[in-house]
Formats: sequence, C-alpha cells, structure tokens
Amino acid sequence: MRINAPGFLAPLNKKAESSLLTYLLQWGGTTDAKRIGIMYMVFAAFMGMVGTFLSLLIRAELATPGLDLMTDDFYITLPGMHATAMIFFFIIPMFTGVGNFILPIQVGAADMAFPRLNLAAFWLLPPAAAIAFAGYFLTGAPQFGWTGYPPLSNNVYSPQIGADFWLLGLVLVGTSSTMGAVNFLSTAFNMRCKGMTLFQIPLFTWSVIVMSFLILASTPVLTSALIMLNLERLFPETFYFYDPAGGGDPILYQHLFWFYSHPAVYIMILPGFGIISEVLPTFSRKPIFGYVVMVWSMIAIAFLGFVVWAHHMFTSGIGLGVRKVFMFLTMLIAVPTGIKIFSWLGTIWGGSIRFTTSMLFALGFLAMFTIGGLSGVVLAAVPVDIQLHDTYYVVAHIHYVLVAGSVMTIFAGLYYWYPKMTGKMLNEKLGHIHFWGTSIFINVTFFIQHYLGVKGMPRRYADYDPIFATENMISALARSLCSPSNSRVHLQLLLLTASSVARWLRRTPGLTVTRWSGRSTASRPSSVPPSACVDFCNRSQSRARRRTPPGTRRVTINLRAHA
Amino acid sequence: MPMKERHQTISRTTQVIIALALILIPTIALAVPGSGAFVSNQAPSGRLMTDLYNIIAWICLGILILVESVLLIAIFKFRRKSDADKPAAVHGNLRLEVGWTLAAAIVQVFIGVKTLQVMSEVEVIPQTTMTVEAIGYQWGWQFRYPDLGGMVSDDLVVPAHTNVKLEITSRDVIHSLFIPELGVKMDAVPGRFNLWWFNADGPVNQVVARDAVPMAVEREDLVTTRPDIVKMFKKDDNRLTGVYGLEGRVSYLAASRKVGDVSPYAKYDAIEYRGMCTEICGKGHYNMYFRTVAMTETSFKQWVKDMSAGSKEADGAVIYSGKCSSYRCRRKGIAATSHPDWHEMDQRRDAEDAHIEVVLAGSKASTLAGPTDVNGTIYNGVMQPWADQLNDVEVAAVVNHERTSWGNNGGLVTDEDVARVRAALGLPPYPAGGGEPISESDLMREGKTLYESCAGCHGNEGKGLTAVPTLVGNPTVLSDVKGTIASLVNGQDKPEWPGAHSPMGRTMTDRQLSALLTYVRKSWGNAASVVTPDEVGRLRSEVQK
Repeated sequence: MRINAPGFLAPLNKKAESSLLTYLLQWGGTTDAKRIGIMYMVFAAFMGMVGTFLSLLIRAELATPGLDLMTDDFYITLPGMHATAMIFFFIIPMFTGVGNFILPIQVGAADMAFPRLNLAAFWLLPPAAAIAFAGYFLTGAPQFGWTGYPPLSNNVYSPQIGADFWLLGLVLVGTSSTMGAVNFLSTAFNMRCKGMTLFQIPLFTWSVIVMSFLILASTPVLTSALIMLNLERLFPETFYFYDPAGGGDPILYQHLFWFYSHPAVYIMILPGFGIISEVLPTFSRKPIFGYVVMVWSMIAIAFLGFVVWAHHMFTSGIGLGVRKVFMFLTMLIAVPTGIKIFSWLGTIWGGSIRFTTSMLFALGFLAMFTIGGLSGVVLAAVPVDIQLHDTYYVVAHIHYVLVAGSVMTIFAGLYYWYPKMTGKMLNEKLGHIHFWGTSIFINVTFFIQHYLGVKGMPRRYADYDPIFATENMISALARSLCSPSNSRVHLQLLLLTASSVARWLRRTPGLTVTRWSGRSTASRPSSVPPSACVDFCNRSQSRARRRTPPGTRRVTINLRAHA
Repeated sequence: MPMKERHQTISRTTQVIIALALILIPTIALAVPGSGAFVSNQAPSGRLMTDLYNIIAWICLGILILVESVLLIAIFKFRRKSDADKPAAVHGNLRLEVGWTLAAAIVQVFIGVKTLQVMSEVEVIPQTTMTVEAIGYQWGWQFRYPDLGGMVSDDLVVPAHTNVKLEITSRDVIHSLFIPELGVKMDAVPGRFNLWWFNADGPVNQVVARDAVPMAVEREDLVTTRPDIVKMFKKDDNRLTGVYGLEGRVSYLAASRKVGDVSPYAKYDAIEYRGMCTEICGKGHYNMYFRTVAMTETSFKQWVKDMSAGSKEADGAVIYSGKCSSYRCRRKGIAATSHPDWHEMDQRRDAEDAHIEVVLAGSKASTLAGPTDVNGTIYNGVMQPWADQLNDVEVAAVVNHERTSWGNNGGLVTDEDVARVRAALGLPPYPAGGGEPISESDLMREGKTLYESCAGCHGNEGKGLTAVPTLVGNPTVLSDVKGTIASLVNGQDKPEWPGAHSPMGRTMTDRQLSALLTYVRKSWGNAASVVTPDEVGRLRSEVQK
C-alpha cells in the first residue's frame, strides 16, 4: 500500500506513504502553512455544502405559499444557521486558507510567523462549527437569525440551549480568526524578502493584510457583545446589558453587533478583490492597472467600513442627524469600490484575454458584483432604505455581494491555484459548465428577489402573501438548478481523487506539472512550490519590480540570505 | 511543458449569446416599467420615497450599463489571437484614474443631496392631528388611541387625508411596523417609543388601491388545490386538525380578510392596506399581518362609536386562528416546553376558571414573558394578556373553541363566567371607557391590585422611605390630579428625590390610572375624590409629552 497523492497532498515521509493513519495524523499536526491552508479550505468547502443544503431547504419551503415542508418552528432557524454556516464557516475560513497558502509564497517566507498558532487557529474551527450547530441535535437551533438581536435572543424568548451553544461557537470562531489575523500581519510585515517594500507586495497579500487589520479591530467587539448576551442568558436578573426591564438597551447590542458585522462584509470580500487582482492580469497578459491606487482604495474601503455600521439600523429609531451622517459615509464607500471596478476594467482593456475557467469567474465577478454594489447605493439613501429595509431587496443585495462576489472569487482562485496545490489542472470543460450554470442561475435566483423587495415581501418569512408566488417559484427553481452546476466542481475533485486512487492502485508515479501561460511565463518555476520558497521570492520580486512605476529605485535581492 | 492553449472551448457565437443573455437580461428587466416599481404611493411621504428611488435606480442603471458595456467590449475586442500576443504593459493612467474618482464622487454627492432634500420632508414629523400608539407583541399588533380615551384596536384605523403620528413600541422583543403602500417602517423596540408619521391620501371607497390586496380568493384556491402528496410530509394529527396546514395558512385571512366573508370595514367608506412585521421576532414572524384602514371622517366617527359599543357576537375559531394559533401547541408527543398541548388539556369543568384566567392575564410575571402556570405545569413560553383586547363574549368564544376542538370535549363557558374571573383578577372590563360609569368600589379594588407595583418604594401604607415621598397627606396627590398624572406618565426627576420616578404610567390605560389615583387618594386616611377615567384621559392629553 502506498499513498501517492499529488502535490501538497503527498505524504511527508516514507512512513506516511505506507500508513493511512500516519498520513492523516501528519496532516492534523502539521505546522506547514500550506498544508494548514489546505485543511482550512477542505473544512470551509464542507461547511459551504452544509450552508448550501440549508439554503435549499429555505428555497424549497418558499417555492409555494404556505407551510409545505416544515413547521415555522423549524423554518425560523434556517436563515440564521444558513448565514452562520456561510459567513463564519465557509467564506471567512476559505479566505484564511487561501491566505495561508499564498501569502507566505508571495512575500517570500518559508512559513507563517507563528506556525503553531496557525495550527491552533485552524483546530478551533471544527469544534466551533460542531458547537454552533449542536442545537439541531439538542433542544433546538436558535430561532433569532444570524443577527441575534436581544430581547429575542435572551433566555426568555429563546430558551433553547442551542442558542447558548451558538453564541459559544461564534466566540470560538472570533478567537480563531483573530489568531489568524495576528499571524498574517506578523508574516507580511516581518518576513518579507529583503528589499520588498510595502508597495511591492502583491495585491492578494495586500488584501489579506487589510482583512487582518479589519479582523483584529472588529472581532473583539463582536466577541464582547456575544459574551454580554451570554451572561444575560446564563444569569437572568443579574446582568441587564440589553434588557430594558433592568435598565439595559437592546439598541446597544445592535451597535456592537454591526460594528463587527459591517467590517465583516469587507473581511469577506477584500481577499476576493485580491484574488481577482491576481487572476485578471495573468489571463490578459497585462500588469494590474493602477497598483498603488488599488492598494489605497482597499485601505480606504477598510477605513470607511468602520464608520458606516449604523446604516443597518436606519429604522431602529436612531436620530435624524445620525442617519444623515451614516448615509453620506455609506455612499462614500462606493467611490473606492468604483475605482477598483474601473481599474480592473482598465487591466483587461487592451490585453490578450484567455478564457480559462478561472478568468471566466473573474469576469463574471466583475459583471455581477457591480449589480450588488449599485443596489448598495440604492439602499444607502435613507428614505429608500426605510422602505426596503428587511425586505427581499436586502436579501438580493447581500447575495449579489457575497455569492456573485465572494463565492465567484473563491471559484476563480480555486481554478487558478489548484495546480499550485496539487500539480494538476482542473478539467476546463467541466469548469465551463460550472461557470455558466452558476452565473446564469444565481442571477435568476437573486435578481428576481429585488422585485420581491420593492413589492414589499419581508425577509425571514416562512409563509408569504400569494401575490409573491411567481417570483418565489422562479427563484426556487433557479436555486435548485444552481446546485447541480456547482456540483461540477465537487464532481471534478471527486474524479481527481478517484484518478489518484486508481494511479495509487496501479502504483504508477504521475505528477503532471502545469502552469498558466500568463504574462510572466518565462519566469515561472514548477507549479507545486517547494517548501522553501526561494524561487518564489524571486518570482514575486521580479513581478513586483515590473509593477514598480518607472523611475523607482530597483532593488536587488540576495537570494542566498533566504535559502 | 506548457499546456496546449485552447482559445475557445465553446463556439464564439454561443459565448456571445450567453454573455448577452447573462448580462443584458437583468439589465433590461430592471428597465421594464413596473417590474421593479415601488409600491409606496398612497401617501405623500411614500410618493417622495418612490420618486427618490426612481432617480437613484435610473442613475445606477446607467452606471451598470456603462460598466457592463465596457466589460463586454473588452471581452470581445481583446480576445487572445495567438500565443505570441504581447500586449503593452500599461501600469496606469493618472488622468483616467483621477477622472473616474471624481465622477464617482460627484454622482454620490448628487444622490446624497437629493436624498437630504427628501429626508427633510419624509423623516421630519409635521404637525399631526392624531396620535396612535402601535404596540407589537409576539405575534401581533395592538393599536391604542390615546386621543380616544385609550381605545384599542387590532387594526390601524385612521381617518384619511389626516396626518397621523405613530408612536411605535413593543411589549416583548423587537418588531418592525411595515405598511408598504404608505411608506411606513419603523422598529418597535421595547422600552422606547419610535416615532413615524403618515397621511393616507389614497382614494377612499375603493376596496383596494392596487392588485396587492384582494388575495383572499386566490389564496383560498391555492389552499384547496394543493396536491395531496405535499401533505404526506406532515404528521397525521396535523393534517386532521390543520394545525400546521390549512388553518395556519388561513389564519392570516381569518384574522385580517376572512375568506368568503366581507371585510369588517366594508360597511364604512374606507380603503385597506396591508401591514406586517419586518424584524425577525420568532417563529410567528410571518404571521403578524394587520389591516391599515383609512376612512372618511364620518365613517371614522361611526367606527369609534361601534368600537366603544363592543361586539356581542364572536366566532371563537376566527379569534383562535387569528390571535392564538401562532402560539399553537407543539406536536403531540414532543416535549412541550414553551406552550401547552391542547391534546392534554384538563377537560374538567373546574379547570375552566384557570383557563379563562390564563387567557385574560397571560403570564403572571410583571413583564409579559416568563413562566406560565397552567394547572400546575410551568411553561416557559410567552402569553399575552388578552383582558384589554378581547371583551367577555370574545374570551368566552375562544375558550369554548379551545375546549371543544382537537378532540377535546370540555364544557361551555359563558361571558358571565369571564366577567366573574375578570373581576376576581381585578382587571377592568373591556371595552375601556365605554358603557356605564364605573363604581367607586370597582376602582378601589382595581387600584389596590395596581398599587402593588408602587408599594415596593412607597410602602404598603403609602408612607414612603427616606428618599421616597410619602403619599399620605401628600399635597400633590390630594390636590393636584394633573400633577400626579404628569409624574406618572412623564416621570419625575427632582433633586430632593434622587431616585427618579420613571414614566411608569405611560403604558397604563386611562381606566387603570383612574383606579390607581382613586385608590391612593382614598386610602390610609386620604379622603380625596374619585378620579374618573374620562378625567384622566382629558388631563393626560394635556400633560403627556
């Protein structure tokens, strides 16, 4: 018996080659950032499937008016748990995983700054997920959505023990991502190749840096808000943070929650921006358009992301002056975001575009993320938001940003970097089916929800007015067709696994080293990066140098110092 | 070994068609008039919102078309022709970058300034002639009219063409009042009053303003033509009783537009709009519909008169499905921790009073939520007190419905039974303020119950504490009815009494306040006059902030 997995899935030593147990144990205890990154990605993909399953339940229930498949008691848990799975256990860990793999390579570090902290951060996640979802197997999952506004989420109105578990799970996730953020920042600032200045750092790494700052500054606020809520739940009549009966204020929770959760939107999209900024130049054989502006616009988005949280609370009774200020700040975010969109267009303009699956996802992201961004502008205007708040318009907006945004970039990155991880290409034909199916059906699924919103269908309704029946049916059908398209990628991964198993049975060695014939064809080394990233340092350096505007002093690198 | 380049995996024509479909269909769909039209057009503020939405939506559509066209042109113009393509390495273009930054900023400022103009008209409450308190609870709404002696209604009934101020609050969790056609949405937050306003100026006397509302019959069709296979997923007893199926679905109609029945407002010159909750508030979130009814001035007066008279007939099934079925019992056999299971109801006659008591008083705790004692079993659910929302006939009807449905075979209670239990609990009769003058002994008895909340500070004998003023012989209590009411409904904060008096009387009805005042003014040696509910109503409207 020999384990012959490709690329980074390969066993570390002879012993692991012959014993599956040793192989898995080596995985579980590895401190290699790239392997931890892969574990993150596998875990996130699994939780993504859990979230997908919950969303299919939601759409199936809403396909026709009436409570058809489930009770309202069960339905009301779904929106919250779907969001929990997708936000906390799919998108954020997925980007952390990609960051773990790519960031050390791009800055020329052999590993992350704190490898064991990195491993600990990962191993907090699976228990966190198990705890957060434990409610479904105990007395009931939380019934208050992912926002968990008190008093609904306090011990009187949500007595389920599952709610306590959910809060605990989220605290663990917050801890994990804070640990990850510390690690990313230390690595990016202290372990760069000699001579790599801040403005030579590749854009994906920049996006991870900005994301880490966001996590570091905002997550503790969420954690404390959740712990306060948990204290109120566990010691009733002792703590009154949010309960007006004892002098608390439920609006306080909303402020604390959104002070995290609005930056969280950028935590979920900025690494995606970074991936797009890597994919577009490669497949159009042009350098990124306006590198410095791209970096500054990311920083601007992150900064503004901290001062717009109250736009989630326009109807909560905050003052008119506050509404005006937050409206203007919210609209301001559209400016750096617009700059990024235009710069990406500038990157592909005049290029030589090759339509690989990865590129298709990147272009699809450009086409559809714009819709999500613009509906955000509509929602920023307070009187319009008052009408649209908590309707399906908001559902459509968030899904255009997160599905047509973050998830499309995840797919772009998967097809782009999969060869880096395994030394194998994903099948392009299946990839094209994956792309077209996904993008057509997510458009149908979510675009029609704008109409539901303006007609006044509120979110999180288990049953609805039959005047909305047609739109909901279309949305449900498209959603059900979207999943098979997405399963193309699972199918591919399965086929690849199967083929490597087959090869393993036949005992034939086989690693096809491939590479994208991008702009920097000549300078690329082998696809699976070696663990000491000397030649990658070389690559990022040469790339960074090419990005440097003319007139800038060139840097020389002493490779031996890093070997 | 570089991979073999394949420039087109699908033919170019197919790609063009798909790309066009992908990008243009949503774009065109957005532009089709009416497909995404705003519905808030039955109030002046709503129309301003709609106009603003249209402006912003058109600007965004323009930007969208611009971006998508550039993207499409780039995709088709700059395809890779050969592997040897070497495009020029452009790193940026300062003029272009500054240009689009400025353009984006200018568009945003334009939208912002437009929005500010609309905000100053929509979100600043004008002079209003009428105030309605909207109180959310799990899961329904209660509308209280402080101008009309604290009358309450399940539906928001207002005169048309009148500026109405809404004072929105909640008894339990956060809800959100949403009337799409009138441009009303404001969260109902416990412990706060959020203000909003509207002026329903739609054409009265049309049953509906738009096709949004007459869904009743259509909904009935959907109910009856549902394929049976769908019901296979449900437990038998649910299918029989319809707890989760038909009844649950019809509940909205029953409560608000009963199928096959004319609207209760059909006899008035009125127009109806839908109203609902938009903030997640538990499993019954979707089932908080209410009617918003705008009437002519004469019809409104007539409606107030009809409401004060109260109804002498009630259909228990209708009330149950409208008000109680959201709290419905759990499925049989599953541990019922939040609400009791009707299948295990105590059917004996001597359990009737306890049943009525729970319906009238709700959870026993001072807040609405908390443990409810039903025949010795404690349920940690939420039960509203219905004493001030249902009259005796209605309570009797709903209790009878519950005691004779789902295989139960309990006895029948009458409205006299309800009145007896109500009196024993010290609760005021409903409707409040109407009917005969209330006797002094009734007020004293009700006041004694209410005073229990005050006794914590003021003492059982009204003597007060060191920092709490005594009520015995207190000049304000004895001679200044208006001042006493003011301190109860507005709160009081004087330097000599460091513990401020919170506005605890604000949520009390006129009748409750009058009972409390009467009790305080006539106890422990105090011998002032009775304060009638009418007097409280008049003075309260003068002092309430």
